[in-house]
Amino acid sequence: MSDAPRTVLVADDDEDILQLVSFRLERAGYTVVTAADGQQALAAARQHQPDLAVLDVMMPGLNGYEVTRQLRADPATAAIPVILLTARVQEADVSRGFEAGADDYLRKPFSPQELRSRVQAILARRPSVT
Amino acid sequence: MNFALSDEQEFLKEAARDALSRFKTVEAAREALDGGELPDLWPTAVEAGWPGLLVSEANGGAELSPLEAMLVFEELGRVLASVPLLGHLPASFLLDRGGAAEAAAACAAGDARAAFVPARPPGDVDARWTVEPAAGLERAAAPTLDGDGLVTGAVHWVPDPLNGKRRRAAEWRDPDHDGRELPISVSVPIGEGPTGFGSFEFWQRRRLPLDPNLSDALDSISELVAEVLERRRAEAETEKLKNEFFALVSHELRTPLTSIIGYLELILEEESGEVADEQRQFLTVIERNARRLLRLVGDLLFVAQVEAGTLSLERHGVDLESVVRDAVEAARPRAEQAGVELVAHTEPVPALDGDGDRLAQVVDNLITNAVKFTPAGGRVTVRSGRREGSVFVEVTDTGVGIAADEQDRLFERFFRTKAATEASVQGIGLGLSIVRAIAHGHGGEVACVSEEGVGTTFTVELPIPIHEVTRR
Repeated sequence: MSDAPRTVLVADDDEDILQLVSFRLERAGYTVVTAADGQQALAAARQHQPDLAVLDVMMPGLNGYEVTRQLRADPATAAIPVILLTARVQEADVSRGFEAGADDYLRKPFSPQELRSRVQAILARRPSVT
Repeated sequence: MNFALSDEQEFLKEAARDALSRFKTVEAAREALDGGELPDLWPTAVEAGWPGLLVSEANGGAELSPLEAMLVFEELGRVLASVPLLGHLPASFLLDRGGAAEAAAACAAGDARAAFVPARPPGDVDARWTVEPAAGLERAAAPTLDGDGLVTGAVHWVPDPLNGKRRRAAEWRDPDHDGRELPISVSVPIGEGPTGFGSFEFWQRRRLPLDPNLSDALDSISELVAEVLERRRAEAETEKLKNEFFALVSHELRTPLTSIIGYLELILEEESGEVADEQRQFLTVIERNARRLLRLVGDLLFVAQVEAGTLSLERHGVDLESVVRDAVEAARPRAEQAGVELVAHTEPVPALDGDGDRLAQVVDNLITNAVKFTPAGGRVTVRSGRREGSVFVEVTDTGVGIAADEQDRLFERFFRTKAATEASVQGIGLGLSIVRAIAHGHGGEVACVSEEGVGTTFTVELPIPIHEVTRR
């Protein structure tokens, strides 16, 4: 396994939260690629082949579920694990995320420890590709 | 009365049908009847003069196709077969018993011949009565009777409010009366507009003059039903809006709170440089209040979900003892700040099939309340353990207590005790309603015992999964 930093794609249309999540992940030692909406997230995923994608559910245009589905449908991005960020609380939203192919979800607001441990847990399951 | 055909009558009918199937027109059939080609029964009918009348009534005066003729005559055969039984009975009596066809037969036998009159044209029919003549639509079971609107027996078609098509009235049968046809309908429109919500249809065996009282009653019923349906529709609409609203609120309030709390944490962790003590103190106040706001949003959404019946519990094995211990530790700083001693006595209990986060919320709400309403120097004791087939969590305080007349209302949403309002204790009266909703969601119950000036005990009991109960 290589020691090269893992790349995480973060997508959120809320600039403040995008920066907050990016900052936390960078501090945790990851390389972060950001996207401000679903379309950008798809493009960035294809271009950068991140080790993980953290996607906000409620984004204009393509929402997090749709981005997840499209990532899964494309062989080039199908293996990228996805954590959905949701401000909604209904269990239905969570199961919808899993149906779309997400690996985990994180409720807003989340503690920095929560974010770190979820990301670590998923990346630990996956050998580094770099 | 039994109108079933005897074997002999059945045979005659079959023979008549066979014979009639050879004829192209009614006239040909009549000639055949006159010529004695058909069984003995038929000339009787012909002599009575009504088969032709019936046929032409049924067909608006036009000739029938051979098939239609056959069908009509088949019906006649059935009617005729009853004549020996019916001949002496007045038509009105028969109609009272629902026998339009039998009445027709009685007429044929000479008892009520004058009763044969054409059906009213559709335009002449009271709008409330959707009865229409059968001509050209479907075979007639019997001619229309009585020009005064007393009785009609014609098979007719009514508009079907469900699909806009017409449907044969005689599809409806009376199960309490030999399954006989219910050929008459009263249709009462419900709601405004061309179709409204549809219509009420009442089916009966005979037509009666419309009773104004009944008509008024039906109108009132239809208005009432329209009102109820309109309200239901409005409620469904409101419910949908409410759910959308809560989803929006949930997102729109949590997102900024996520940023507020997230960046505060960054500052307090000194990610952006050292934080002076006083700054830290002020920032902590901001953080505490942001979390309070977040909790409030969560509580309101929770109550909304309970209201909407969309509350779902994420059930998995829950260790209640550790839930209780964690909640006690989380509340300890608050208790210390308030000068209240917080004590826990817990024992291990079987794993519950429950939602750990929600159960933590229950314990947390109870402890928070107890600390809030206990003066400095008092004590809050939390116990958890097992009692028969259930586990319990009990929170006892030495606080102000709850007035007897307020205890019944404690678990109502937004209810606040006088003591809470007077002492301006923080809260909006949702905590206990949430406790109860979660307890109920787990098949459990919550109870309260309190004495003013002495203290209060809240007890939550939750059922143990059945396989654990038997394992004792």
